[in-house]
Amino acid sequence: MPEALLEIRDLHVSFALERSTVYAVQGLSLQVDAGERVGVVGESGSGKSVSALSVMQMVPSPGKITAGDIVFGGENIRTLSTSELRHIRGGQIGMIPQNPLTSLNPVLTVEAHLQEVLRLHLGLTRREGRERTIELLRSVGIPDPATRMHEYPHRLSGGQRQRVMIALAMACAPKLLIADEPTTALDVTIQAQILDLFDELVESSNLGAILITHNLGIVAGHCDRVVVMYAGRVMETASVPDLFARPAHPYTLGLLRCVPRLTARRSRVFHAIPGAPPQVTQLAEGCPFAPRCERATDQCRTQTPPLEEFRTNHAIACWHPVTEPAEVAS
Amino acid sequence: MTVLQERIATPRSSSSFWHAAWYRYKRNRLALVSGVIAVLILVVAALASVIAPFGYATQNLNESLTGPSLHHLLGTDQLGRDLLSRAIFGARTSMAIAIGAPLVGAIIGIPIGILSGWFGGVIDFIALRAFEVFTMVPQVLMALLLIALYGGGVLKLLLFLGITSWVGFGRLARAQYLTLRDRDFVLAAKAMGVPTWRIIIVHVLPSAVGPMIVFFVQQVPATIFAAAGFSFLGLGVQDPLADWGKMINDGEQYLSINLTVALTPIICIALATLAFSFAGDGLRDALDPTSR
Repeated sequence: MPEALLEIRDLHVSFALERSTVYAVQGLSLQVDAGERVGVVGESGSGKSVSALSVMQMVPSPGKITAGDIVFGGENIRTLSTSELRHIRGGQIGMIPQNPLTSLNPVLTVEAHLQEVLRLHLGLTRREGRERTIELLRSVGIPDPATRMHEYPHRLSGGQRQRVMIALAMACAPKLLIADEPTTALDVTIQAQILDLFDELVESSNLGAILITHNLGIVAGHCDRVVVMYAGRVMETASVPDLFARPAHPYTLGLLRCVPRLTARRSRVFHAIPGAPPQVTQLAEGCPFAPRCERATDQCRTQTPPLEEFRTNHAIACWHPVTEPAEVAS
Repeated sequence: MTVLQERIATPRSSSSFWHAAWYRYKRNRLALVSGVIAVLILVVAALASVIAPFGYATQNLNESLTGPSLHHLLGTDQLGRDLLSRAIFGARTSMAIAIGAPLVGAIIGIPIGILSGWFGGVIDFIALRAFEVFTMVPQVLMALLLIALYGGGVLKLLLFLGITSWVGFGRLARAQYLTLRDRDFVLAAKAMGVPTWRIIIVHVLPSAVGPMIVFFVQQVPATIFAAAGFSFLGLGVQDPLADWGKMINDGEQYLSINLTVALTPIICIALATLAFSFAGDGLRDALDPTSR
């Protein structure tokens, strides 16, 4: 097996607060190959964003990576120096942030943003940088880039700003692209355009990509593999077709049921998983989903299920996996 | 109604923040007039030796304490020096101190504030304690002590008032950077691999500089006052140099003979203080429309 582009092994991240400690990520393992799009799904607070920031070594204080390895391109990111990290950030790994409206500096023009990254990582001169800027903006679908690049961010629409962010992330031809809920702040029609652009770039540049989202619909359309997270743990990981055809974890099943469908004839009610995801402030034994799970038994409450291969390329962490496929269709 | 209009009216072709700010400033009559007067005072101060009809030390004892006349538009003081000329040269010293001192304060305070707000932790702790210690000792008292130790004079007064005024700039810069460092665009810049010093200067400073400029302009009238106070007490500017504060001191003894000797510098100080105050307020409203 060829070496993966990015491999996260048993990652633990925790936030030491004044009175308690939040265990945001507990034992995340993840692999991304070149040309592969991995979706990370989960509710708010499930540790998705923190995992993404860990890859860049940018977990906000007081968060700390307490254990685990992050191997990118054969190097363990956790052991790199600040200047080596700077080289990776923006140069080798591009990040598309959640909110394009606030992620562009209001006092810098579009060109200034791009020029800076190009100069820092590729050492381009002003003139070279300008040409490349126009090229990049064109490739992400900004009309009339030679004029538009002189604009300040507030003159662009939300979708255009996200396109600029994508151009920024792609500017130095990274090997890995991390998109942290890239469409949450955008209109639905724009979402589709942005995600299509994302697909196009991944395919044309043979990138590895991590797409963080809470929208299973996006995963279905734009990912190859998916990792379902809950309370900082991986609940289920499988190829996208497999996950949608035969979800095995009750939590995944619950999530799938929550997706409203136009085709379902009579269901006037939205399905919802009762309860709310926990804030993990103590390391308790047992499945974190047990309090909300209809299949939970005493074993679930006392023993933490390990993440094990359930079918080929399909692992789950559950004592009582769902086997009957009939339940999904409802 | 005017407030409403100002809110709705937005500049048509502004491509930058400063255009919008200028547009808002222009709409504020009081600030505009004050700004013009403030600039005028600065111009007069800069061109003092060209404009003034006499030298600031030119004496004519035969014509001492005369009232306003065609020859001496504002009259003369006890040594027969032309008051208009002295007021004009006084503007030069007063303005040099009023602008120089906050500049010194800004140069000391802003970097300290930036580092403390950005990095936090130990640096912030030390900076905060320094703020507290310096706030505890009144600025005037501190400057007084320094003058007592090292003597007065324009340059020293400027330096001492500057050294004692850094706390305000430090606090302001700290607050600015504290709120700005967690902005999304800072995180995004970090994710792009931009070095920290570049984020601090290129990415964050332009957003923080507005309030700093406002604070600077607001410091000017306070410094005019403080400097005039010191000169009035005889601790600042020394004879024969002209300074508004010292001119009041001179004129105070001759109030019953010639009122203009004291009145001229008083009006000058009042005018300059008000002009810079209103200009500063206008600038604040223009640069940060949400502060109203």
